[in-house]
Amino acid sequence: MSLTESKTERILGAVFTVIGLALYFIIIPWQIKDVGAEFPTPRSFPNLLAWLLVILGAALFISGMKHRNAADQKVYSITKTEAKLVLITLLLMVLYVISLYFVPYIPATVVVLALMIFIYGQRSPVKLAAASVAVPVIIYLAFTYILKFNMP
Amino acid sequence: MDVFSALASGFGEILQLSNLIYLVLGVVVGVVMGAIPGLTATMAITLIIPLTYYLTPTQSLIMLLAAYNAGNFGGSISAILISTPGTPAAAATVADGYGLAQKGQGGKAIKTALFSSCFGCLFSSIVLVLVAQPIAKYALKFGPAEYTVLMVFSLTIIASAAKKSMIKGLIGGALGLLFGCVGTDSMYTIPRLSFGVLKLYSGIDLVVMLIGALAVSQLLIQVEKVATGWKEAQLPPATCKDDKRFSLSDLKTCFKTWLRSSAIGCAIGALPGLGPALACYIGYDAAKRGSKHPEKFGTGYVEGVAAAEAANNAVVGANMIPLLSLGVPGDTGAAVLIGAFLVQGLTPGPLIFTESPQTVYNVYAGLILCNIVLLLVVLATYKLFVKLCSLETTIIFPVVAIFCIIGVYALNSTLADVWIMLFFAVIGYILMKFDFPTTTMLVGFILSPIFEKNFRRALTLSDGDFSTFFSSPLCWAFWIITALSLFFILRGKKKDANLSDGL
Amino acid sequence: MKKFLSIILACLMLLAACTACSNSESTASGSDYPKGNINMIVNFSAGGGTDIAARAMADVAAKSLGTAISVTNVTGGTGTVGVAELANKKNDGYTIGVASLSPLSLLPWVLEVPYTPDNFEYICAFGQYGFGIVVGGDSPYNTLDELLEAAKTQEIKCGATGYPQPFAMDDLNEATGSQLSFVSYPSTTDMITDVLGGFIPCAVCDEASFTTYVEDGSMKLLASATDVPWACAPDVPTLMDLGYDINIMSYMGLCVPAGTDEAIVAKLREAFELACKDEGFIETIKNGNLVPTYMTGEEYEKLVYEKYEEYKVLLADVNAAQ
Repeated sequence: MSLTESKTERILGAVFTVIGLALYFIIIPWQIKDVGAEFPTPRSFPNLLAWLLVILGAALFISGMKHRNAADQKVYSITKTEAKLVLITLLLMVLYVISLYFVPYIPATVVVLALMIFIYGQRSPVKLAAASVAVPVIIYLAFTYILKFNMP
Repeated sequence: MDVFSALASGFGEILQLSNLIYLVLGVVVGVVMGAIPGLTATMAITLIIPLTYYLTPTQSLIMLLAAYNAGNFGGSISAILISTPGTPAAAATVADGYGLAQKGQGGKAIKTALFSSCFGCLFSSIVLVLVAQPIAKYALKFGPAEYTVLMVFSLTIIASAAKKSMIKGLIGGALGLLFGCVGTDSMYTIPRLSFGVLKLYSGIDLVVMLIGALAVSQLLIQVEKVATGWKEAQLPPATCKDDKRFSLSDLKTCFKTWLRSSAIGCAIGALPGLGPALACYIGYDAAKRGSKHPEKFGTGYVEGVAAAEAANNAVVGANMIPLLSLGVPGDTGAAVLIGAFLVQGLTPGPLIFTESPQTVYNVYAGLILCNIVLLLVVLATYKLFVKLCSLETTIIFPVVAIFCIIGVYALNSTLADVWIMLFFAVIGYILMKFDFPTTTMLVGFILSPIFEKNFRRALTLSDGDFSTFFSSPLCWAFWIITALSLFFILRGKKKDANLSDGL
Repeated sequence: MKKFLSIILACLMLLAACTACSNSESTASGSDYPKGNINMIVNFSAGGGTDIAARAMADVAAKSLGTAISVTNVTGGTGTVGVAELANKKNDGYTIGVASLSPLSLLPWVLEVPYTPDNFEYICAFGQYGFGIVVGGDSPYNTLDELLEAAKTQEIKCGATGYPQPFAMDDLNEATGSQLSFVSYPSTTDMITDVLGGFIPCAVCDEASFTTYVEDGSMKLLASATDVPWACAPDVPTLMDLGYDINIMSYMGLCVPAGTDEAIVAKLREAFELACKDEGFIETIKNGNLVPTYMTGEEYEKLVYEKYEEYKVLLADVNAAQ
């Protein structure tokens, strides 16, 4: 999948404009109590930033429109394999964190490390096992005994 | 007591084996923790403090200071070798450090960072010893209005850091500023943008955001390359002897930068409330603007590394200025150090010079010496780091990922921080992919709370009178600097535009 | 090959699971408690006054309990995040935590916290924060009366790091017609530099952080805002001495999650009572410029609930006014 620079500018420009508007009209009033004091209130600065985003988003969009047909644009692309691995990495990290709520540190880390190393293409079982066991254990020892710190 | 004789006896104290051991230990722990992404210099001291309860004041303080200093250097190791800053202070070192490494000049980069860091800290230590008290008194002249104008100047850095597209840079800055608003309002004690999550009441931790947006996102970008079969040792080897050395010509390039960055670092360290992360950005920015070759910055240029590293380590020494003279910490690292003092029954502040002057001078001596120790230790062992980082990518990246997660968890013993980090990892990844400079987001994030808090407080103290921002010579000085800064930035952009048109 | 791998993985997991099991403690009965490490959550950062006091106390108590007590710092939300964390832990007696008066009684009315005083059993209170009213060293005011007199004709700004200090200002204003106006400083450090730099004329501050400036003369203590004078300035009167019925109270206390077995609570109370009365500990507390105070669990509990109701009313007014 690939996008030209101007197209990304237009897309992102629109995105930021929307975010800015959402911030001003929805998120900020929702999140920050109206204190009714005189300027500057807790909302002032965030509101200002929200409008800044709107303006900048619009500017980015316009810039995208202007360069629409420029000759030497940068192309952003990402192949399917790349995207897949990135997403898997993220997913693994998320799952790891979730698992730490239920499973103590050592088993969780060993498993996740092993999985990640394997997925990244490491095929030698020795290296895999060595790394996925050695690293968590070293961390555990260092933290718990030297630094007297509790692991999850 | 004459300064020099006190200092001399301070050195005598430190060089005794019983004290020296802790100095070396501190350096080692600091470098290791700094180098591991996810663990930071501040965390190093926080975790070491409980161990210092049973040590003498001198031992504990020099160990902590050595760790803090070494940690601020250590971050640059991982910044250079795996493009992932080990500590917030190394954020500005990534671009040039890693750039150098990719040209096979990793050894040179590490040595540059090392020498710069040591220079920065030595410089600020000497400043500390000689003029701590007058500087501290002067720093007191900075009230909310002055800080506000200083922040306005710092905001122009955002514009300056925007590389190609000013708009993208500004968007990054705006996002950063917004993220900085999350937390408890500075005037009304109401939560802002916290979405009901208790952890967000105190805002987003800089370290958490930095590790997420710079380290983990960088990891994800590297992962893309792994997908396409990139397995082997990552960095090209040195092509010639000079690549591993910090040569005389490098010294000539860097010396002026060292002086400038160290001065900046001293100034930032002496003002309470700022910190090494801000210093490295300002130092880097100043060097870029003052250099004869600004276009080389960011591509792998020794001066860039030197600028950032000298500045952030200069903060270490300078942090002690308000700490010892006023009892006020320059940043979170120094705040932890206050605790160390208290544990030992010492109270940092004006009285410490009369109550326990010898300890103070021991600390000074320790600070100066730890740079030498750092030099020796790192020169002897850096090849080890390089070797470690040339292990297979399949192993390194998962390990780094785990370290980031555990490190962030270790900060506050809560997994909530890890979720925040992952959130920023995604954001950072998207920003990086589409050429938004993450620097601007980080600078915006650092500056936002300081700016807003001081702005509102200044107005409250002056009852809404805006002229307070023009009321003191310091304010005027910063307004002028800001105007100059903007002028040069715009001129620079125009020059770039003319250049590209002319091609 | 894959089989080999999965076998190794399975073995490792089994091994790990076993070690994990042997580490985690199941609910203990009172008689053989404590069987292992106790974890203490401190709700402020390492190196701060509360942290040092808590660790010192933990050291002494660990000896009488016969087991190690390790300290974890969970900071944020001016002390509420650590308390919230404690409320969610297992009530098996192996997690205890510092819960100061402010996060328990006051902050629930200011922030949305996921706990109430009902979520805890109270072990003891081990220290008190002192408060006072200070002005800069070269301020024209030398006594509280002078300050209040001047404040009658013009508004004088007074800093504080948060509630309940502003209530003292309100009370003083009511009693004397002065106009002390509250300026919020979430960070103590900022307040220190602003007072020293002369940017704010006076402040209601805490003894722990400000003692050193009173001692060296860069600030003047006009009155102590608690019921005892400051340790470093015993001849400066308290507000009560001066005739105002104002006493800012804030204590550091120790708690466990609600529902913890009574026998365990009793054992903890015993051990920490000893710790609080230990001389070394009192020394440490004094060094940190805190006020050594001991309250039993029941007394602290009563105070917490009392203040909880009190602040509910007081802060409803404040919130309404905003």
